[in-house]
Amino acid sequence: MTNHWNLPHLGFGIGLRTTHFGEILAGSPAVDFFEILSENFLDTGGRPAYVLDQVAERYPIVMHGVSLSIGSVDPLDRSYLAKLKALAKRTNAKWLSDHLCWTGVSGRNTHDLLPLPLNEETLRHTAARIRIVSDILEQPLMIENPSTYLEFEASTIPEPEFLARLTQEADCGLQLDVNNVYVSSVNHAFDARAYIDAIPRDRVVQYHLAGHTDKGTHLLDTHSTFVKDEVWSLYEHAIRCTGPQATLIEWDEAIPELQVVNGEAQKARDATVRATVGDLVHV
Amino acid sequence: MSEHEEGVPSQTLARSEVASPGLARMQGWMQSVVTHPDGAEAGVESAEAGVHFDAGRLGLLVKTTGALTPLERLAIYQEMHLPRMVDALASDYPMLLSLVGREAFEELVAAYNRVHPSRSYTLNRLGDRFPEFLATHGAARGRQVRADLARLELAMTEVFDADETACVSSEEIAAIPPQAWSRARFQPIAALRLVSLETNAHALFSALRAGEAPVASRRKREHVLVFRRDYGVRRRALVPAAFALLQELVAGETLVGALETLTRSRRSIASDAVGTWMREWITDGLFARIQPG
Repeated sequence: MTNHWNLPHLGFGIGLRTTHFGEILAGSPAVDFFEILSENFLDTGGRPAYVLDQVAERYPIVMHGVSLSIGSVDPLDRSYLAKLKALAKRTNAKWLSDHLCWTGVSGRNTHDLLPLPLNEETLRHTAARIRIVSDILEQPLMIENPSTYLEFEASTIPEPEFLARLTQEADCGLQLDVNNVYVSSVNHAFDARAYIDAIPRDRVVQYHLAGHTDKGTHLLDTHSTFVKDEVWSLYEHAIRCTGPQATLIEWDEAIPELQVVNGEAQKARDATVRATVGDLVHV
Repeated sequence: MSEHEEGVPSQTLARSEVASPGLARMQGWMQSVVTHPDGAEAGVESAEAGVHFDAGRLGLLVKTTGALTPLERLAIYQEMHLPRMVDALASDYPMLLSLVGREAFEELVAAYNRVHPSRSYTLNRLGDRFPEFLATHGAARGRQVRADLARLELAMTEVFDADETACVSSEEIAAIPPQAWSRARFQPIAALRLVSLETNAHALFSALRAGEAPVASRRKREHVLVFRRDYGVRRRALVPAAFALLQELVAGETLVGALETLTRSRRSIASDAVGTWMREWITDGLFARIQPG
């Protein structure tokens, strides 16, 4: 199964992190693709930019942002978008993504991925802004479902239905973060598999996988450890729904050696094989 | 009035109105709560949040599901806010953190965040005003050295991120006629900063980075050249006359003009010293272009 735009299945990648720069440049490790945190490379002309140029020559790059603030009522930051576009061109990025969230209002940036009330007003507002962003970037935007720790009484649309309608009204894609689905499902007591089942299959262009932390009363999306078994199981379910899609391991705290992170990417490859072979057996 | 500029006082809202309160009010309210320095409860009860929703409406805004109350759910976000800012500034000011210790550093960041919250898409710009803030905040004892250390670290961050510019080549230098040097103008590379300090913050920085016991801070004028070469940030202490000369050159003055300025300010410079400095700066790759006079 392919996706709405026939964007390529890039394989099983990892995030490009400073701690691995030396190893990547020295050894050209067997990584399918790298995802960069866009904001880390927008305003630097030093070593990070040099390393990124080297990596982009050898590997496919995708860009993942945290400051688009697509749900905010503040105006879109046009200079930020211009820089994103320039970076995408420089790295020949296969696609760009950011989160269904807002990060601040009144000119302030909390640098958190804050939740939105999921209702008709937010849907109209967010879809209109995604269309503007896509026009400026001249390519479709991929929207990621965030981990959330609260829900608003003002929400009237379940999250997967909201995402499905958003893809239609904004003509955007989805970067489905399976760990985020799981974290939110525990935090808000919903059925994670039913969530996956309600996602429009052809709009999923990339998966994210990461580790989370159990805080006792809730799960926290920390990207600080290995992907949990429950998330692997949910990922296989998702792959059975959408078919294989580019999948990325996020690891942002207590980052281990590159081969450990890449080992998680290989587990994703194995899980994809299990899910798709299982499909064939059922057929 | 646009759909995001509702002006209905929160006290007059009926439940149905609260159920669809508008994104602008919801976001203004939540930001007030999760960025409040004294906790989510204080945030909910704050005047800033009250502009949008009365504290008594919390249960009508945030769902009560599972083990956590609405306030506890807001607290998850609020409790991550300041640590995120602390981590960002700790990354930019590691030696300042070493000097003052974690607890004092967190207090300084909390105070700074109240005055200068992030307004950029990147946390890399969060600390741009930290040195000037430190010059007037925190305990009076050691204030100047903290501000100086921060100025030095900010310069290093700027140099780290500056655009890469090729330095003038040896062939270009060889092509400059000897008589053209005195009227030549020197365009610096982007990754160059000159930092003048009121204290021995540079010596302190070196000791802290080496993991040595910090030297005692004291008043002492220090002049530091910060530049990048082969993507590494380098520091070099300069004598006052060398610092003043380089300052004039990077500001666009000719060599002879710069020396005249220094003479007028009664700085004595040995003639052979100028040649030594110039050779060193050219070898260090400080100039992107030399325009012969």
